[in-house]
Amino acid sequence: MGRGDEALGRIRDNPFYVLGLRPAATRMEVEREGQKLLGMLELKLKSAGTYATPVGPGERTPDKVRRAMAELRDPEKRLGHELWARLTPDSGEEPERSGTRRVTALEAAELAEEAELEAMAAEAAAEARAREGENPLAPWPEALQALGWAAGRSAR
Amino acid sequence: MLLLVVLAVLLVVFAPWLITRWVLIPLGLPRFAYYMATLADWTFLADRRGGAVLAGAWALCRRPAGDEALAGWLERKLLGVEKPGPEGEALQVAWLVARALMALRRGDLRRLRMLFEVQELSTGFETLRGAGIGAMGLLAAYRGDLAGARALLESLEHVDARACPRLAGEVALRWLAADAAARGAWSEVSALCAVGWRGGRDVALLGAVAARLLDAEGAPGDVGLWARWLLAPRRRATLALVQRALRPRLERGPQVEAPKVRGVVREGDRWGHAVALHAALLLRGEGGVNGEDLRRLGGAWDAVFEDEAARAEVEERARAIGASGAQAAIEGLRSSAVEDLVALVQAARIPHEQWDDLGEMLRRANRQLRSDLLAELELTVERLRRRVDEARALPAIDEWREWIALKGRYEQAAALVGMELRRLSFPRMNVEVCHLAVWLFNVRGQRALANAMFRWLLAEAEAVGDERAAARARDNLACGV
Repeated sequence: MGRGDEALGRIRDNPFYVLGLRPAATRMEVEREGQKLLGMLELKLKSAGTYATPVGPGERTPDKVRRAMAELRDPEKRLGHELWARLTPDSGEEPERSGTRRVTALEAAELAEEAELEAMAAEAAAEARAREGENPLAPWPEALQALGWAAGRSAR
Repeated sequence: MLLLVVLAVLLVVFAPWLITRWVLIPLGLPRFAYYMATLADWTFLADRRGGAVLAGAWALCRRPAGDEALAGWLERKLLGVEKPGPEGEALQVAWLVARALMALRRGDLRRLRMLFEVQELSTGFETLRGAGIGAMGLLAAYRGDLAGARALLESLEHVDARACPRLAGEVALRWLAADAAARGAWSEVSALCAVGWRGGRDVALLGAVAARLLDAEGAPGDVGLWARWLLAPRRRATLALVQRALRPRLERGPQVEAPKVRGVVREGDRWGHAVALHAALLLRGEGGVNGEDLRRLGGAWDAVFEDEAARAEVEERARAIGASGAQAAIEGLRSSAVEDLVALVQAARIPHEQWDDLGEMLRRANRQLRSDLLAELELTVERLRRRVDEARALPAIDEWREWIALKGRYEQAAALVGMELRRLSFPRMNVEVCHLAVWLFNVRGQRALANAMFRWLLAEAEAVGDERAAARARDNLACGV
């Protein structure tokens, strides 16, 4: 794993995101949510298998949930995680979990607008991907072969 | 019939390179190409053995991959690791005795000891020069090690022209241009192909295509591009590329966007703003981050760490959850953020001048990066020193590979941290690289390799203003190649 992945992992595996909670959650809420998720994972409920984070979805496992609960029990560690969990994931899947801050009407509108923009961006990206072959600055993978520096590959 | 035979003999005697270049290499006949090129004294005057192996390796590249026997055969021809016959052995012993006598005459017992110590391992009897390095580059490419091939072929620019046949440089240029095109590094293609027609017809075409794709100044028009295509070899294979370059700018497709942060930040939340910016750069990864992004991120973090209200907010949270204080959490976050900044700079290879700033975060990142890179360089030269002191000789090509890796690391570090790192690490680099080069020159007989190192040391000594080192490098360069 590169350092970039490691750094992204710090956000993606943040205990608050793993548990689907916001930093304002109480200790009790952390325990309750953790136990609930462990139960759901044991029953192999699909909805518990992933969680939203600002850097893309993460895979939730019982081990991750247990570790997240342990991290949040330690106030010193919890404070550090709170700082990294300032962003509210905008998937909108679990916005009203107990213990999380209630979303205001303005924020809800912002979320909806964000979601719409995201959908548009995703559509544009998909279109761009489809047209990638047409991108003039794309690599020319056959260059070495075409210019006589590599014959067609053969079985060894 | 007799006339034809006479003509063939005359061609072989007077134009062996023509036959090699236009018949044997295109037919993919490495052994024939090797033996025929050994007769091409004029073409490979600066490195005849290397030139012959280069011709063989070039021909090998025309064959399907996987013929390791042929690749190994060519490599042995170059590095001389095949057991020599009785004549070769006698010559080798005579060479060793002569060097030993010279060392004795000078009373240089240390060199005498080193001569006998390296004797078993050394392949120094077969000296490596420019064409040989080029040949090893092509063999690496044939074996699928494209990064290794790139490093070796790029390194030819450091070899003195007296030790590197012009043709080796041309072959390297053509391969490097094709490789850059395969990676989509069109700016690199454009820079490589600035030589125009002198690099060959395919290089001229690639250069023109790159200039058109990049909308560079002086890019040829449609007619010019078609003319280059007509003159270039392998027209069928390059037609699609030319059509791509001719497509109007407006029709060109958009770039694929980097993934975005999927999170919401509250108005006025400075911590959240900095974290969002941080996450956005991490998501963009090595390809999409530039110096301006780093400055912005550094500024965002500085704004948070200098903001009393933001600190008070964390202190309040610390009290609320029963933590001892905010300092540890804030410092932990700051050091993680600095580490990430360092990783981003290294991964994206952002030159120092693009992100040099007076901000505290960037200053910290710069300090850490400098310290990491200096430690890494120190460790590498220390290992090199120990190996040379213990006379643990590597085959000539591996000595060269080790040198270009060290040089690459130094230059990359210098680009990331700037002149400060060069001034700090050059004195040690100078001592150790000079030590290696002197050993290669005096004991191993690898004069061309040593000469290239002296040349680099001279250029670097002049750049950092080290007059003593420059004078020594000049003296060493005067020893020849």
